[in-house]
Amino acid sequence: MGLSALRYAVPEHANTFWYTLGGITFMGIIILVVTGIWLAQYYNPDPSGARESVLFIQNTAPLGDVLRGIHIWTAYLVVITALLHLGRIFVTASYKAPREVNWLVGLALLAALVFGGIFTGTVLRWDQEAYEALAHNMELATLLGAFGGFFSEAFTTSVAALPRLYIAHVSMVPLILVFLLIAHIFLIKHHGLSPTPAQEDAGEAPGGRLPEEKETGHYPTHLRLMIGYGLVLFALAGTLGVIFPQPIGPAPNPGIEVTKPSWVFYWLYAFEDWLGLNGILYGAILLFGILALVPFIDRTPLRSLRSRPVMLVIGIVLVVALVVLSLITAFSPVVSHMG
Amino acid sequence: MKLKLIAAGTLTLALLALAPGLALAHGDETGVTVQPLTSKPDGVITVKGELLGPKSSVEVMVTGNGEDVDLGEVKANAEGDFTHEFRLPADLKPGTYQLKATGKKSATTQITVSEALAGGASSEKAGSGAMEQAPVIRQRPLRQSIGLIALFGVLAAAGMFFATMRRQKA
Repeated sequence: MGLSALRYAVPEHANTFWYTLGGITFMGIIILVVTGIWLAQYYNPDPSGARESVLFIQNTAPLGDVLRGIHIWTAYLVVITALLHLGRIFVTASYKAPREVNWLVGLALLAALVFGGIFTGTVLRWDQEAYEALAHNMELATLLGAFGGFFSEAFTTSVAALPRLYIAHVSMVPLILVFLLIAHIFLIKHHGLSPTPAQEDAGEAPGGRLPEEKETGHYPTHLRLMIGYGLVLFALAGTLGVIFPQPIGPAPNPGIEVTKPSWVFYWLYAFEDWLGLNGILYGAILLFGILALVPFIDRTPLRSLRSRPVMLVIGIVLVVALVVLSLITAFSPVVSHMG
Repeated sequence: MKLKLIAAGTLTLALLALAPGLALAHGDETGVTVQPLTSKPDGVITVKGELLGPKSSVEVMVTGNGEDVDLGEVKANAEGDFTHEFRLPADLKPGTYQLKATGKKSATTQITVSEALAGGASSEKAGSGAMEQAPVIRQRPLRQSIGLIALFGVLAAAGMFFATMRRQKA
């Protein structure tokens, strides 16, 4: 069957939890696709019936509440595992040459998950929060100028914005994720898994790759870890879905702005509070811009975090900023931003 | 050299991503927007038009779903811009409509008319900040919830067992 092609050697540390976080995120994306296909059988993207169909999924469709819960909680958990994966790469400086491009591909994957997947998914619920999210999308499309054309309502008058976002959620975003995942996995295979900082700093990995004789791990073991932890992720999402059923808000009232976005966007909401709608754009560009520059700022030859004090400070500042901004939003009242 | 290649690659990708938008930007400079994006029959909408012809009389129409409704006429300013509120007909069927503003130049956008939005509320209520209650979410019976959690617990245990089995070496 050609499965023997998967029986190749990898570094021993590849088969540890921290180096499997990328694989766990990948398994989460598979769970999202499978549960998403099921949910799509019941969802009606027409604005006049969208919210009713979400209520149908939640209250009537067989196992609808459970699978909707798994879908939404998996999306949140995938963001967490992707961030932990990013954190591991940052701490071990695995973004250094020759892996700079793969760091950028990884960031694009994170952006596609958060701004593509979770944002469009929020709008599909078509309740008050969804409507306000869509209104923000339209305003941001105007701010983006030429690039915003595709995302704006004025792009076409033949189809409403909600069905277009639905198409983005079920076809465009997954397609982008697939292309980026192919590039990500190809580059990992091409460059090999990065050595540990200790191995690299000890000169055991010339050119940023361990020699074959030191790759004593086994890739099928890595796959086993991915599947095993993927099952744990699925079970965790299911448990959370049962204990905390996903709410559906009131029907949208266009005249008011009374909701906060999903917690994933809390840090951006704080920027919006301070700078108005433009703050969302500035905040996203600031965070992803700093992260994109990381491999090009960090030119130290060593990879141990203690040998990279500047990167340590940047990392701590980013984490603290994200947590503090999110907490500020969590405990602040809702403010109207739309004109 | 490698840095230059990376920079060139990133720039190329960025330009490719921008291309569709840039292409669109060279299209019509006129524009019309409507707020809210979704309204209901008898709801008040705000229509903004841009560059439809200086001082022109702009006719605003809603078409679609077999209906062709003239909302009214408004005078554009010296730049050809206008902002005006219109009331949708009370008997407008739910669905997606094209909203067309025609002055010396014309522009179109879309608006969705939804019965679900109304919920028996008047348009004044919709604009006043009133909001209907969140719907009732069905709660599974406690036994079913416990059963599901137990099932997920077994799956998690199986996953942990599978992941932490003795690791093979190459």
